[in-house]
Amino acid sequence: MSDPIASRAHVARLFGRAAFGATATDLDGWAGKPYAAAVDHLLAVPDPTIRPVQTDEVNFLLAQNGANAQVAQQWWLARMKNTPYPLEERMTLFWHDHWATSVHPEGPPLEYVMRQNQTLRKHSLGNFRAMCQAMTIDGAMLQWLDGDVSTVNNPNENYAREFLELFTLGTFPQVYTEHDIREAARVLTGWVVDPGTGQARFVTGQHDKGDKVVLGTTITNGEAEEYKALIDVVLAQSVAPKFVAYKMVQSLAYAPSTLNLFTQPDPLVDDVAAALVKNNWEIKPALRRLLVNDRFRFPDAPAGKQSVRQPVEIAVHAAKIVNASFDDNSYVPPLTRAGQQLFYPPNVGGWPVGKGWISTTTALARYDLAYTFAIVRQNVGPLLRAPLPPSTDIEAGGGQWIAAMGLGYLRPTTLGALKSYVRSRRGQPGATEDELQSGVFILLATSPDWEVM
Amino acid sequence: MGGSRGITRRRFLTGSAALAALPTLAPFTGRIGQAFAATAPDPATTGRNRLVVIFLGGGNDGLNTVVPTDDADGTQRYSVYRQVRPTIGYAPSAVLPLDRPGDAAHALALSPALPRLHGMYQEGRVAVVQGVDYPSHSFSHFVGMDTWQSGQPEVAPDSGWLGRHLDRAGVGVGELRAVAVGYELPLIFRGREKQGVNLPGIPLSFADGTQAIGDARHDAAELFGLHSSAEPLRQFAGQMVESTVDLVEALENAPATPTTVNPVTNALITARVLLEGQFGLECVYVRIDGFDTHATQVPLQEQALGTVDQAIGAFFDGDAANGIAPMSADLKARTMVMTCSEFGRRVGENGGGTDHGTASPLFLVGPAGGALVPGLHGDHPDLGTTLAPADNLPPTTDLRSVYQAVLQNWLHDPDPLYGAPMPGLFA
Repeated sequence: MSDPIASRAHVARLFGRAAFGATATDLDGWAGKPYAAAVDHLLAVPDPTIRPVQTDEVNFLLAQNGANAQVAQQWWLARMKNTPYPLEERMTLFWHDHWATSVHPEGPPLEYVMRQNQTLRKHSLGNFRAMCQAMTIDGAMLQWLDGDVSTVNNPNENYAREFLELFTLGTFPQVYTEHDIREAARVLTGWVVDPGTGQARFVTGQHDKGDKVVLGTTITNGEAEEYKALIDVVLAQSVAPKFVAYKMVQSLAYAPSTLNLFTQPDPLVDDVAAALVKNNWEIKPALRRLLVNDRFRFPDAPAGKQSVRQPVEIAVHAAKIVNASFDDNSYVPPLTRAGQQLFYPPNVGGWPVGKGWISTTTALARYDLAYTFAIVRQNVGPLLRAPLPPSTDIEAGGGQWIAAMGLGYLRPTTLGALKSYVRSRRGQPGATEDELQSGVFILLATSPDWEVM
Repeated sequence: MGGSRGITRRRFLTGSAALAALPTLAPFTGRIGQAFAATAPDPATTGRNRLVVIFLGGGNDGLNTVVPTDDADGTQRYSVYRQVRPTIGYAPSAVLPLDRPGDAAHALALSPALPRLHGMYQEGRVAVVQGVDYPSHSFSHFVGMDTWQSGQPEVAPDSGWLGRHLDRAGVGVGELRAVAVGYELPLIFRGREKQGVNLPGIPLSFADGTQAIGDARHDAAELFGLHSSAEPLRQFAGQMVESTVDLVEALENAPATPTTVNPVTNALITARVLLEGQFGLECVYVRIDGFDTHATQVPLQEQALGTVDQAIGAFFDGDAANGIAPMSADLKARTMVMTCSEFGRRVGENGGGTDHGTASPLFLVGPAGGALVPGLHGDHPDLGTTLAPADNLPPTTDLRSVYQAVLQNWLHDPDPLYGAPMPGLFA
C-alpha cells in the first residue's frame, strides 16, 4: 500500500470510529500527515499489565460505592474520555459487546462483571486465543451462561453453544452441529465460581472424564486444562478468523453484506482474517490492517460503507468536545434511554449494530443526550462559543463549528437544517447568541453526519 | 424519497387557530386516551382490527406451559413427561385444566402461573396453537428470533412478517400504524421499504420542551429526513429524527399511564392508550425476556409467565389494584393478543433447567364470539414412549400457516409469500 496523506475527513473517520471521536486538535494535528502515522499513534498502547492503575481504580470504586451501577458506568465513561489510549478503551468496549455479559439479579453481580472488564482490557489488543481462554473460565461468564452449574451428570449447553455461535465461529455458514455443542459442553464441565473471590475453580469430581469428539477431533480428559484443547480445536476452523474479523469490521467500519463468509467474501474481512492467521491470533496487527485499509479510510466509500456510532461513542465524543465531566450523573439516564448501559448489554448477543441503533426511541434519547451536553457547554467557558455568522453565511462561516465538532465536513441536509434554525430563531425575543450556539450544537450532535460515520 | 410534508401540528398551533385548538386537547377525563389525538378520527382507520404481539424472549418452555396431565390421544405423553422431568414436571393437581368442550380427551392443562389466561380460556377468548415451529429449526436464540419475527425460515430474512404488511399498506414515515413499546425497533416491524416506530412510553417530550426555542430547533431537525438516498444509513437516521419530531408533536399531550411493578403491564397499557387514540394504530409489539431457563427453571418461568399473564389480564380486563380500568368494549371487540417465542425447550430436564429445544405452543387472545375460534388448535407434539422418550418435540404446526391465518382473517391482508392459512383457527 502506498503512503497516503490524511485529509481532515480521514482523521474524523479514524478517530470517530476507533477513538471516541476527533477533537479540533486531532484534526489539526493529523491532517496533512501520513495517514498510517495517525493509525500507529492510536495503536501505540503500552502493555496494560505494566499499568496496574486500573485495578486500583476499580477496587477503590467498589470500596467507596459498593456495587453501584451508575457510578461504575460513570467510571468507565470517564476512562474512555480521559485515557491517553482511546483505542484500548474502544476495543475493550468492542470485546464487552462481543462477549456480552450482563449484570443480572440471578448473577453475575456487578463486581464480577467489572473484574471481567479488566480482563477484557488486558486482552483488548493482545491475543484472541488467550482472550478465549480467559473468558471461558471468567467468573462472570461462568455465572452468566451457567458454566458454574455444568457437571458430568448435567452438562449445560448454554456457554458451549454461544462460544461457537457468537464468540468464535458464527452461523454464516454454520460449520458445527448440535452434537458438537453437546460434546463441547462435556469438555467444559467441572468449573465453579468461588463466591468470595469471584474466581473460577476446577472441581475434578464434577468433570466429565470421557472422550469427546468436537468438530471431528477427539479431546481426551485434560482436567483443568482441557478447555484449552477445545479452544484450539475451534480456532483451527477456517471460518473462525473470518468470523472474528467480520465482527471487527462490523463494529469499526461498516456492515459487510455477506451471508456466507466463504462464498460471498468481503475484501476487508478477508484482509483482517488473513492478518489474524498470519500473526497467530494477535489482535493488534489485524486491527492495524483494518484501520489503514482504504476500505476503512474513505469516509465517502460507496453507499452503506459506514456505520452507526453507538450511544456511548457519541456521548464520549460530545464530552470531549464540551469538556464535560462524567462525575456529573446526568448522562447515564439518557444513555440508558438510548439503549446502552455499560455492564448491562441486553442479552448474550450484545447490543444492536448498525441500523439497529436507529429508531424513534433512540433518536429521542440522543436528542436529550445532546441537550444535556449543551447545558454543560454553557457552563464550561469558551469552547464552542464562537460568534455565529448571519444565517445566510453559515455555510461559509460554519467551518469552525464543523472542526470544533470533530467532523470533516457536513452534508447539505445538515447545513440546511442549521440555516433554517438560525434564520427562524435569530431576532426572536430573548434569542441570545449563546442560545443560538447551543441550538447549533444540538442540531450538529443529532445530525446524520454525527451519528453515521 | 423527498416529497412535500403535511403541515405539522406544532406549526398549526403556532398559528391563529392555536387558542381554539387547545381546549380540545385537555383535560383527559373519562376513558383514558380519549381525544388527545391531533387529527380528526378517520373511520377507515379507527375501525381496524388491532394486533398486539408479545414476544417471550429466551425460548419459553412449552411443555411446562401447556402441560400433559394424563396419557391421552393414544400416546404415553404424561408418562414420558413425568419420567424425563422428575423434578421440574408439574403434577396434575398443580396445573389449571383446559376444559372447554372437547378438551377432556386431550388431558392438557395450563401452567399455574397463568390463572388469568386460564379464566379467559374458559370464557372462550383464547386459542392455544400447539407444536408451532418452522422447517430447518435452529437452536440459536438469534436465528430463532429472526425467523419468528420475519416468518422467513430457511433463507436470510429481509423483513418482518408485519413489516411486509406495512409495506403493502404503504405507511408513511413516522405514521402510528405499528408501534413497538421499548428501546428496539424490532425486525417484526421492519419492512423492505416501510417500518413501524418505537417509543419508550408516553407522554413523549424533548428534554428542552416545546416552547419557541425548541420549536425552531425541532423544525430544523425535521429537515434531516430530507437526506440523500445515496447514503441510506444517513437517510434512515434522518428519517427517524423526523419521525421523532412528529411523534412528540402527536404524543406530548398524551395522558401518562399508570406505572406498576410489571413492565409488560406498563407497556401494554401504554399501547392501549395509543390504541384508543385516533391514530389508526393497528399493530403493537412488546417484548419480555427471562425465558431462557437453563437452570432453576420452575421459579424463573413462573415469574416470567406470571408477568405476561398479569399484563394480558390488565390490558383487557383491568387491574383494580393498580387503578387500571377494563378496556372499552368497543376496542375489546377489535383487539387480539398473540404470544410467541424463538423456540421451546428440550423434553428432558437437565440439572433443574432445560436446554434449547424445538416446537412450542402460542396463545391468541381475542373477543369471545368473534372471528377467533377458541380452544385447542393443532396437535400436541409427540413425546415418544417411556422406552424411547423424545429428545426434541416434533413440530405439528408451521408458524407460517398461523401468520397467514392472522394476516388473512384478522388484518385482512394475506402475505403472497405464504400458502394456505391454518384451518379452523378463525371462523
